[in-house]
Amino acid sequence: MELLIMSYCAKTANARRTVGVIPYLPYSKQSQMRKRGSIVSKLLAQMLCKSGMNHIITMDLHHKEIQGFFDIPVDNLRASPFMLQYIQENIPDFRNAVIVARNPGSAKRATSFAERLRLALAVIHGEQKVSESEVIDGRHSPPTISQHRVVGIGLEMVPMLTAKEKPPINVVGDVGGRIAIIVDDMIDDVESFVNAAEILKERGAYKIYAMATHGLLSSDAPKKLEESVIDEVVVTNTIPHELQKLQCNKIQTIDISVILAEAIRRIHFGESMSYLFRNIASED
Amino acid sequence: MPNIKLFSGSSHADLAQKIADRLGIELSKVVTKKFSNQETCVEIGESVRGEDVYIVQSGCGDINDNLMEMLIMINACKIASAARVTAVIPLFPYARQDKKDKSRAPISAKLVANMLSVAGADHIITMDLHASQIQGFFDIPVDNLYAEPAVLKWVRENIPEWKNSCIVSPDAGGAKRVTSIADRLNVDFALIHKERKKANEVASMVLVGDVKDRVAILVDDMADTCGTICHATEKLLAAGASKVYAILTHGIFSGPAISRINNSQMENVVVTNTIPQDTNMKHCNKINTIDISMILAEAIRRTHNGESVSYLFSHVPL
Repeated sequence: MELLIMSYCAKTANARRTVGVIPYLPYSKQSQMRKRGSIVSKLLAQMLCKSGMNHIITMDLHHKEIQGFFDIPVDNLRASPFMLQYIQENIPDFRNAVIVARNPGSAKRATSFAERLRLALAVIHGEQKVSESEVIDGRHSPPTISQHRVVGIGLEMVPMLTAKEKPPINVVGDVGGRIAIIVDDMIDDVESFVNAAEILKERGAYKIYAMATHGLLSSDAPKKLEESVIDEVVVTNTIPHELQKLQCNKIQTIDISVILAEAIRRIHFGESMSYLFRNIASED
Repeated sequence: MPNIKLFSGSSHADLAQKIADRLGIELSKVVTKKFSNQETCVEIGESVRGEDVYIVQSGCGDINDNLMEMLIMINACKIASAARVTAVIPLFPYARQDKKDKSRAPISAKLVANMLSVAGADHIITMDLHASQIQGFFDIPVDNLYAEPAVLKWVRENIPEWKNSCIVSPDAGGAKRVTSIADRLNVDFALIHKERKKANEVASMVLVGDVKDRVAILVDDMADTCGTICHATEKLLAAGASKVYAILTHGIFSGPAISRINNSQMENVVVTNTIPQDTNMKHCNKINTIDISMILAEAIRRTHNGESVSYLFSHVPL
């Protein structure tokens, strides 16, 4: 709300151009229709455009398609060069590591890291998640077997699809005797990271790192991380996490203010931003 | 009470006819032709005042011409006072250009969305969008139907060893789709990703997961030039898979695709009929089609009657 009001204030005070620098764009996980839910990202994009922003700079959007929700130019900077540098400088023996995707949804990001570091890949699948059951709200009418139907086939319906039986948590790929680096774009609810780390440890990984661009780390995440088998948690400073660092000393921070400052400078002087995107893989 | 008026564009008249048959109505009359300077001309042949209009056009064949024809048809119905105009677009055009992944790249999917809204569409029905975020590009309601229930039905009925198969994703981006199908069939999954061991070396494909002595089922949303799935097939057979099937929602098959499929060792390539497949099936006998006209017909019927469409996300109507 504060951001919208500030932006509108700048617009009405006759600013020449208002650029919103939003390192972590909120509601980016709600960017698709889920069962009569709202696409909050789209609503937020429209509100930001209406409030007078002319340009948005953000970092590691959860879904790159969110750029299309805005009618104004959006620059989606990447933290991956910083994370790759961190891996190469601070993890000794990184050539014996495996990049792990903690669920199939983050397989793309993990692959782009694995490609650039020339390491192997593993994917974890099958967490115990409470399935969202279909609520019968009385509006489910099966198709009427009426005169509209072209006769010829039997009238019985295909039986109800079996519910997704989530198999027990499993690692696809080999991690025995290596360092496992779990890569994702945000760490918020650490439950899945902790479970992933446990199973990686079981399969033989001797050290486990968790790296993410945005470290939300809400509620009792620091405590859970402290107690888990994860050796180190690396996040960038897109979100302030001083409090969490005090509670858990496994958390390391990467400073990405350099790239934001450079982006602002280049936009101000009208220079090309392609330099900031030169080493980005297509899937990142 | 408005009636359903179903119009067909020139991209996929066969599918529109099948949908009309399922709904038990006749296709409404429309004449689409080109003037001698190649401008599209559309003449709606019956009254649409106050009616619920559905226009079926897929983004295949001459994509740009078909898109223009659809926009003109939507506009014609809108200014002829139709109560509501719904565009039924089984394959959404320019869906792959949905993000700015290089400097100065256009987001063409957003542009198409804007054009459809400006032309006057009130509702969009589409199938297996390349990215579900494209729903958010529109300000009007979008129904993204899934071919997954039809695919699962086909697998259970036509692949005898499906219980011991492995669902494989030909690239890392499709991992979510593949795990969803693998969970419903209660089988394992694997994925293939490209890895460059040395700089300047051609990327080799690495299989993550185990397919030895099992039937491998490659699943993806679209196949254009089929380079990826043919390489994936070789990789899977080299890793010990007994047979390889490929199941794709949208079979675009442009360029060398048909010859690649004929020369590969895939058992079968299964696509839905979101794109007309008659010519392709003549040139290649490995291609099978899954008919999804009943899913679209059901969606149209439910939208018209104001009923819930969520039933279609897990069931295949007969």
